[in-house]
Amino acid sequence: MEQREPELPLAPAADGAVEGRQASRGRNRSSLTRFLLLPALVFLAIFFAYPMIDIVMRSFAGPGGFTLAHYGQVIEHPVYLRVFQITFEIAFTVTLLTLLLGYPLAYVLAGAGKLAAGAIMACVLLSFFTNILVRTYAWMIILGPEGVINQLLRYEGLGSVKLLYNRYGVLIGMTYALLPYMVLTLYSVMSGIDRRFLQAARNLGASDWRAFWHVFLPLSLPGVVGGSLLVFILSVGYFITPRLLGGARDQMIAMVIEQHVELGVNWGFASALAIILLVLTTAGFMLYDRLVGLKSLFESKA
Amino acid sequence: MPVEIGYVAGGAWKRRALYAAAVLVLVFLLLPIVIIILLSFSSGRYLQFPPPGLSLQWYERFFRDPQWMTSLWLSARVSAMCTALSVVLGVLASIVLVRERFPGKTAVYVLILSPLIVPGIIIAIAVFFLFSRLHMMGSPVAMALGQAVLTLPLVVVIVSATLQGFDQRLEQAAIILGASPTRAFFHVTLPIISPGVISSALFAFLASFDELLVPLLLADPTTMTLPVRIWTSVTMQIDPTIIAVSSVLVAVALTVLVSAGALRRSRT
Amino acid sequence: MAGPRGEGVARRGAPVRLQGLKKAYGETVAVRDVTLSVAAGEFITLLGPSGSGKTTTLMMIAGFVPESAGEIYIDERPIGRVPPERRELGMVFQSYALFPHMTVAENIAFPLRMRGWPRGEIRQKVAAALEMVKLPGYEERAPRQLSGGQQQRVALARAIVFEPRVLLMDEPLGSLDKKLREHMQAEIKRIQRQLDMTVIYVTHDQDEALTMSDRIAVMHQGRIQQVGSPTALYDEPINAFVADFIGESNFVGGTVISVDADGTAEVRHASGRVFRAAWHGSVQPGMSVVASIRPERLTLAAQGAADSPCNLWRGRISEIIFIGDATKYKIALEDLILTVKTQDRDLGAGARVGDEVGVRWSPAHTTLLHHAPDP
Repeated sequence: MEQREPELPLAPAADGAVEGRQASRGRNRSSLTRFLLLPALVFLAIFFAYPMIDIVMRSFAGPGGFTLAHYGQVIEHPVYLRVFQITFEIAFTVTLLTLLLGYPLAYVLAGAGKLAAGAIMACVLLSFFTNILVRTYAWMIILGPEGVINQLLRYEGLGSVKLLYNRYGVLIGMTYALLPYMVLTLYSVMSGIDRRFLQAARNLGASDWRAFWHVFLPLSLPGVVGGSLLVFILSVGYFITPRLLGGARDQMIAMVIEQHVELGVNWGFASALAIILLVLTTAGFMLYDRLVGLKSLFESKA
Repeated sequence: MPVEIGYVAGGAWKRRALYAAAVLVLVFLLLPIVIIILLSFSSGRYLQFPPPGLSLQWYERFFRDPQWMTSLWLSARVSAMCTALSVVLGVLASIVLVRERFPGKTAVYVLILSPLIVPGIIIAIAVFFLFSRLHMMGSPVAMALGQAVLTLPLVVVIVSATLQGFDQRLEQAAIILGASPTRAFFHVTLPIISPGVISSALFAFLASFDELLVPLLLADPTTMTLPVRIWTSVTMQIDPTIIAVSSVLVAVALTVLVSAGALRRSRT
Repeated sequence: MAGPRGEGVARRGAPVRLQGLKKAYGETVAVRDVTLSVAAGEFITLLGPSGSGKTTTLMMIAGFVPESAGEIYIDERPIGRVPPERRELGMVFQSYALFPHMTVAENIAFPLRMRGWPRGEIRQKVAAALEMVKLPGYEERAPRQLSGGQQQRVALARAIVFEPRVLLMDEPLGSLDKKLREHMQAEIKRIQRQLDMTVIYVTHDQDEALTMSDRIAVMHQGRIQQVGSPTALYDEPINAFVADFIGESNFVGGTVISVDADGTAEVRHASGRVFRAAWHGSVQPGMSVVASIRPERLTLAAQGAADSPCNLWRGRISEIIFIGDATKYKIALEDLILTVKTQDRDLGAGARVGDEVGVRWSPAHTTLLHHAPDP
């Protein structure tokens, strides 16, 4: 197999298809191909870009025209600041929990043989792709006062425990919901760690714990950072799970936004909250892109 | 479980502890789903655990209930429309994104992929504002359009990846043999990338079938998709039938996963 | 431009003419000023190392790469504006490019389908094409079930089934092993003769080019260095690149001392040694030249004087390389190593590394070149 000619525009390279002819040489084929992009762009412009801009506008729109009152409300009322605080608290805790639970599973998954890895992956994927509503409802069944756990406890005569409509429920439910994201992110990094590094470390005198601590763990950090950031960002925007599993003291931003829209009262305020949430999550993803790269996130979905 | 871990040698108890931890987490992941499926076959009146016996009563209630069936049918229609739209738009867009170079390409990528990054609630209210202005509340078409915003990027990601793996020399060969670029696309490229396209359709369908927030905000009492009806039941008055509905949704997800897996294997 | 059917008979193959072809990618020029006339039914090879512009030239003929300048004529008609699918050229790619989702028959039928042929005729044509490439009965196979050689033959069948008058081949045999390659070379020639097609063949393998071509165009850095029959290129390379790329060459540099009436020039090498070379009109005394001598034109001489007009130099054997059907001897002179190649096993019998030998060759086989070999 010998070397071929240098890159042609038609070789599977990233840049270019059947190269259009120079303008002076007749019709330009590739400019025609570009029009294929239009339907998707037009669609998104109408049903995504415009509505998003609309929200921005509404957040600044008051009875007398442009106003910052909606944003002001967020700062003036401690209630809303508290909501932000709660949101971040929950997001942070969930991130920690998913990390603690996800790391060992990802570790085993990365080192597993074909059959076991396939089975584990199937379980993770099933959880990942099952309807979030169903997965949350399942926890209602398990954690409720008449739920599985309490039934078992009562059967054993151990009294009952309140795990639903409070912080515990939210944390358990959200950890459960976001665990696959953490596992998949960690796994994608861990599976790329060459085991020869660890063999070298062992050979050089490190015990298995030290080899892990000094070699594997640092190498897995990009996955830890990426997974944590991802779970955190997603948690901040969560609605369904905290709404169903939480109590009065577990209000998250998305819930407040939804309330205000559904009650039809203060859409301007809801919009302001939405923009703040959007800014936060976008900042989060930009940080993610800087640290890890968004491209890998999208590629893993494929 | 014949798990072979190359890294953790030595310290058998350490290895066992690790396995145990992993198994626990795995159980954690599966338990809720298993419980749902199990309870859906319960013959008891309420959702007691363990179930007193097995029965199909909840499924019967589900399939016999006109309201649930209306919702199921609505969900299917909306998802079908949404999938069709996003696959067509997405495949066309992917062709251009993978093969063409043009100014502003990054901006286009950002636009197309950003629905994946925006929190679902925000997209839902954005779409809600739009359609309430257009007086299209409760319209299945509106729901399909709103959901397509979410599934379009999904399709683009999957189909782009497939296209990148496609050897363009096959298209060249078709062209030199006499096919115009369009014919070459339909006779050669499309058949070869079809597993990827079908995959994207499956996942788009699943995502839109499962979607809650968009159809929730766009719903009126007569047009509730399946997830919306589950939501209403959960938040207002629990109808135990939802246990069967949930189980059905798990089955749908499982079907999509298995099909997608089979498609991937057929490619190689 | 010999054709097996001789002159005067109307050829099926179309003549191809390239006029001043150029291709630039921004600053980089891949092909500069390629002008070439290919006769009807001729088998011409574009030969060169990678990066020489040969594949780019082929791609321009095919229509996949728009030319930056120049024109391409097929049958004296310019095809610059004709899109690739209407150029009626057959093409075989190095990677075969068989459609994996179609059977062999569907692959071969493809160009006929594109042209709207009726089903019955298509079936006949496909069968005939498979016969021609010696794969009868392979219609229902899938490409992945075939070996490399078989896939290549199917690709060939697909390219010729619609009886194009010109066939383009882009290093089609690169991924085949030696024996298979030689076999396929013969097959391709046979099919070309049978269908009387003009073939433009691209390869970097000079043996392949020498074997198959009526003429060879040696390309380097985007330009055609020399066009000619295999013999002409081999015996009379125009410059050091061609001399070095086709076959092996000993290069000896020096200054021309004198030009003699008997048609030879006397050249002095830097070491002071003198030799005689064939004289071309453009060579003048005082000029700096490089002489090219094919290893098989050198021979080992026993002790003794030179018998004029042969050149005879003395040196030591530094290496003996046995390559099966020939033996190469590397003879070291003070600042020069000459390679002698011989098929005569008796010639070097008893010779050992370190032995002092004489190297003899005739001025008639010493070609003078103006340009120094490119680095």
